[in-house]
Amino acid sequence: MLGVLLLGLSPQKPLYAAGAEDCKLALAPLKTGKLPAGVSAALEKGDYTAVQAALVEAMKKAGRISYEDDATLCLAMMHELVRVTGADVLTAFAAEDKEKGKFLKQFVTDAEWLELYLSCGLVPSKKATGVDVLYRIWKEEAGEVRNKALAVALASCWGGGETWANPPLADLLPNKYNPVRRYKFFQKQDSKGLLHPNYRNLKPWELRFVVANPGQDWDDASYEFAARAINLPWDKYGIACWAATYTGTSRFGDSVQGGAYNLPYANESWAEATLRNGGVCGAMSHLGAVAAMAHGIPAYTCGQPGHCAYAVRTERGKWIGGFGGPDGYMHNMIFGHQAPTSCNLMEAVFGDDKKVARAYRKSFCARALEAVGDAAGAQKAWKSALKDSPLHPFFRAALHALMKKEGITPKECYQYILCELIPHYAGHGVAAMEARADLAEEFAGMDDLERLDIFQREHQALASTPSSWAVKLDGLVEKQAATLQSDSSRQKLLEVMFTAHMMQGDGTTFGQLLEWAVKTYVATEEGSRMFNKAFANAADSAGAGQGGDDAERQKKMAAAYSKAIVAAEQARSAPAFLALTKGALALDKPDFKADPLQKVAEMSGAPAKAALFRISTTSNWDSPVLHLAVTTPEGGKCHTSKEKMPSFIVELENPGFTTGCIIRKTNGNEGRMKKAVVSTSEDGATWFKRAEVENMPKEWAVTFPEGIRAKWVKVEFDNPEPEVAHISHVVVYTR
Amino acid sequence: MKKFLLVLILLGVVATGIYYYNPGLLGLDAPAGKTLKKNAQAGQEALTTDTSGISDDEDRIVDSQPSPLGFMENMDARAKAKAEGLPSLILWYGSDWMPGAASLVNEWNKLEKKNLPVVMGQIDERVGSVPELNAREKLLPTGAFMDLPVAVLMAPDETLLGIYSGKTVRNAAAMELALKRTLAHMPEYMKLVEKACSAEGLEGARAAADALAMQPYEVATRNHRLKDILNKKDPEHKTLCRYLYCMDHMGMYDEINAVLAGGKGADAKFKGAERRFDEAELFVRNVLNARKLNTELEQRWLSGLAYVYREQYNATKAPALRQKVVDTYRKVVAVDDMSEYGKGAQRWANYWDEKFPYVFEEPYYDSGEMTVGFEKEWRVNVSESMKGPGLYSFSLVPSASKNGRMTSRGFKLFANGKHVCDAEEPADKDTKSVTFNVPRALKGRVEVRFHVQCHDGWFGCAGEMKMQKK
Repeated sequence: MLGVLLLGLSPQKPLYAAGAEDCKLALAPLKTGKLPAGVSAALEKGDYTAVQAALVEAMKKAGRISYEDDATLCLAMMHELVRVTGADVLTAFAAEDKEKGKFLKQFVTDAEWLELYLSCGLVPSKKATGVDVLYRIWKEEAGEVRNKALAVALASCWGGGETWANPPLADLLPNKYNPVRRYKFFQKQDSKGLLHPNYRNLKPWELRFVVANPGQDWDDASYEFAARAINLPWDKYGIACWAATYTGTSRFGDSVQGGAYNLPYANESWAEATLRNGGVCGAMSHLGAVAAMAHGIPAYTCGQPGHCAYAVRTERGKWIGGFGGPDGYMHNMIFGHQAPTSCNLMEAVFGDDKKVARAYRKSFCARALEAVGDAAGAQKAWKSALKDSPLHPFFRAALHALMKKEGITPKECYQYILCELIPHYAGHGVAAMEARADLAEEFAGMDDLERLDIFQREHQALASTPSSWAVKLDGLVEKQAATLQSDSSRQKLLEVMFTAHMMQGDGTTFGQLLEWAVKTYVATEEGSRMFNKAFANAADSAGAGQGGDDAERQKKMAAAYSKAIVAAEQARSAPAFLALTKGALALDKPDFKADPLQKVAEMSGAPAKAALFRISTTSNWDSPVLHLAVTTPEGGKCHTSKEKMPSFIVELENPGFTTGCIIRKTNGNEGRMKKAVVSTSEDGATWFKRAEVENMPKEWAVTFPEGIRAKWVKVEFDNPEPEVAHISHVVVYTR
Repeated sequence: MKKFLLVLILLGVVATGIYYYNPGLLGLDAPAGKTLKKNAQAGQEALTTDTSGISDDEDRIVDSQPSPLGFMENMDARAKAKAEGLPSLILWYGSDWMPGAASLVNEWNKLEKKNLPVVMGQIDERVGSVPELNAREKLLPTGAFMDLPVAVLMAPDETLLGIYSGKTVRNAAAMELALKRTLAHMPEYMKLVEKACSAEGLEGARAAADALAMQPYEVATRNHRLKDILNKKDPEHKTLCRYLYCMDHMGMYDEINAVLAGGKGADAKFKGAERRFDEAELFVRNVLNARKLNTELEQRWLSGLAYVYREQYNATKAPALRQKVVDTYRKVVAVDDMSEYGKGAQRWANYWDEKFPYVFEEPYYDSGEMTVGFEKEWRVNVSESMKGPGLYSFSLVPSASKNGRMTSRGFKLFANGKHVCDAEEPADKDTKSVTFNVPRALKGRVEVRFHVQCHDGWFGCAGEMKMQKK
């Protein structure tokens, strides 16, 4: 230190100045004026029904409710708290004891705190859970809450909100799940500089993913433990799950699927028990997420079919996956559980701090205007709020409710959806479809042409939306189809869908919609005809301008099928993959014959039937129509584009005991594929290496150890530089 | 190499003073303050591993940003070590994000000045850098690299010798001591490795097993070179050493289950009570008696034995087997009560032991306290709820969804271990709420004792217990 001083340099600053607090509001804090006498008197009594009435009276008297007028905006915010929590709930809470009454009075008149609470995404609705959490923290801090944003995030997580009325708190024993303990933990870690450098910049809605949803994430002690036991560079928490060993059997021989697995370590936190004794995807993903959160990094765990994964947010808007995440059913959320769509929506809504803060202020005024009976003013205020934050689902829903109340006609509704709603939702197609659902009755009054017009725009928005196999679209398109009156309209819907998605997007959404269409229509002859006609028309539209004779038409159809087959693979849709392959082969069976396998005699068991073959990337040399054949002894043809790690995954029709596999390269340029790894999986996400070779021979026969159950087998090439991979066989053998 | 061996011999002399605590094992450092427990049966000392590497908060105070160490990069250091026939010591840390990095760097600069016979190298994993995934995957139990800093000691042939984490890695003196302990046993270890490579058949296999036995489980399990030798030179399991050193606990249970069922997977022949319990017991006992075992392996295979008894008890319900289960778990605890096996076996023994009650200091019950298939006595501390003589209600309040079927009966009140009164409800009545008529003021420890059984699995029941004066 002396040397530093002598040189006239100041030592570098620590990451944090312990104890300092930052204001979390994006806009200048409101100047709170003197409360109207009626409001003050009602507050003194702790009668929030009277408070609500006095607020309405005072706002009426003020004559103008505007987000630009601090005095009325403060009244509007107080009114919003009473509305959302419930006057009777607040009155009962204040009446429980004097301290609670005192806290509540302080809270509702603290404009900064109130604004943080009401704009954190989910505000506990019609129950006292949220204010009770704030009260307990307030009490712990002797009436001066140092980190109001953190307190608000905890209140929101414990209390839920409009889209999540009852987060699963019911089973949480207070000795293990305590918001005050969690608040103290983060304050302590923060003061020691042990949290991510950006922790202090997080807004309450972001902090929700740090303090975690207690019903789905782990006990308080897990945070303490993970903070000490897992320490990685800030951007590496996507691998933190591997701090534990993957094991399906405990040290004492009990399966992880039963309660006995954890019984010997029931006195330890979940994190400690998992880190020390291992687990499978559920426990490991939670461990990874908790490790990130314990270091002030937002994270969530998410469910996937037969698997659990997690995601970590390395910077605003950027979620990286852990253990097969980030896509799946988010266990913590604001606007919906589905990652990536709900997650992207949340990031888009809250992406601009100032705009969304202003939108919230306008929304408080809109609610206040509704309360004073100015419906026109309220509608204007909602539209103004949506101008700042056009994707906010709650604001949109509130506007729709008001429009319906005021009596919007189907014609007006059609115009509104086309001109004012959908244009804002490029990249958020699912949200557009969900927002439109509010107007179901008005939508029912439209004709099929109008509806198809809307569906076309929706599918265009959907095609521009980042997609994932994890996003389930069946329900949404099912509803679209159900509103249509005739089969010809439904065929048109298929055409609209196929055209939109064949032209745009990475193919995953296209694959999912194909799966739905195959399942819904291809089972019957009439449905099959509709599907084929729609697919042909879409293929025609997609390849418009390429000529119209039969040969050209067949070529376009084959190209469309190829695209559709790869899309089905990306969407992991076995039914669509099989149906499209069958359709494509019926159209034109390529004249191709693979070399016969040489090492069949080395294998035990029989070739297993595949339900899906998934290629990591496609290319101009690829033959998707022959992908399924790659999984058979007859062989097929597949060809990736240049990749560092090109891969092929075979999904078996039935999981079972696999004995091995044969992989054979196609003729020509065999030297391209050298280092290869074969792995198996039971859940499609957790892979276990079964064999590795530095220089793969022309035909590689792999024998698995005994007793390997698998449904997926992956062949992956590890290239020093990006390179293509092309094989004729991946034949899996089972007993 | 000769120079290296000479240095090792000298170090061995230095390390003689700690030989008592660490005879004959290469290994991991023990976390500071943790007792090194002697393996009584083997006469060998299994150092408790520290791969979780948990540091106390005080180790990680906020520093100003440090300069990184000036050591050679990982691969360069390892190449130099190989060329010079010395072990390499690689520190894995992060100079731009890790709290406590400055003091760590200071300590390692001090360690460098000790001129230990190792080539020192570093991996400075900064934010945004590409992690050395291969090293993560191949060198260590992955978890060991999840709590940086970690130091790894490798033999000149890159065999893993030791992992140092927690407080040890942050302190030059502790690191020096730990390193010297490990290096002192290097000559013996290297001789065994050489023999394992050169000797044919079972002799080579036994040498490989002896070398692996010198290493703690966490290190030995990653010693792929020796494991390959053992697998190749004893393909028919004649030494039984492959069961010990070439498989983890899951592998052990696979083997036990295969013996029980008369085959693996689809080849299984027997189910339920038909399974070959005697053969499985004999198999486990043979492995246990095959050679001297370190703590981890002895506890693992004893747990395997308890598993056989448990499976047999579950299939036959023969009461004597239950006691065998308890006794075997107690043996696991006796080997080392602080290890994960020891801690877990303690709870399993208590679970199965009919005489052992569950004591609740906090008024909550959860999955971990459930017994499935038999009743357990619960003793709930209600001392703070006692407010003089009178009527008291005691209730079990299940949580909203973990409210599975649970029987609870025979409620009694005790003060300082002496019976005070029974609940007013009949002792055999299954109820979740009872009344006590407390005749006098009770001082000291007051407990409500009763018997409980959950009928909906271990996850079925949880809730709160309330004692209130009426």
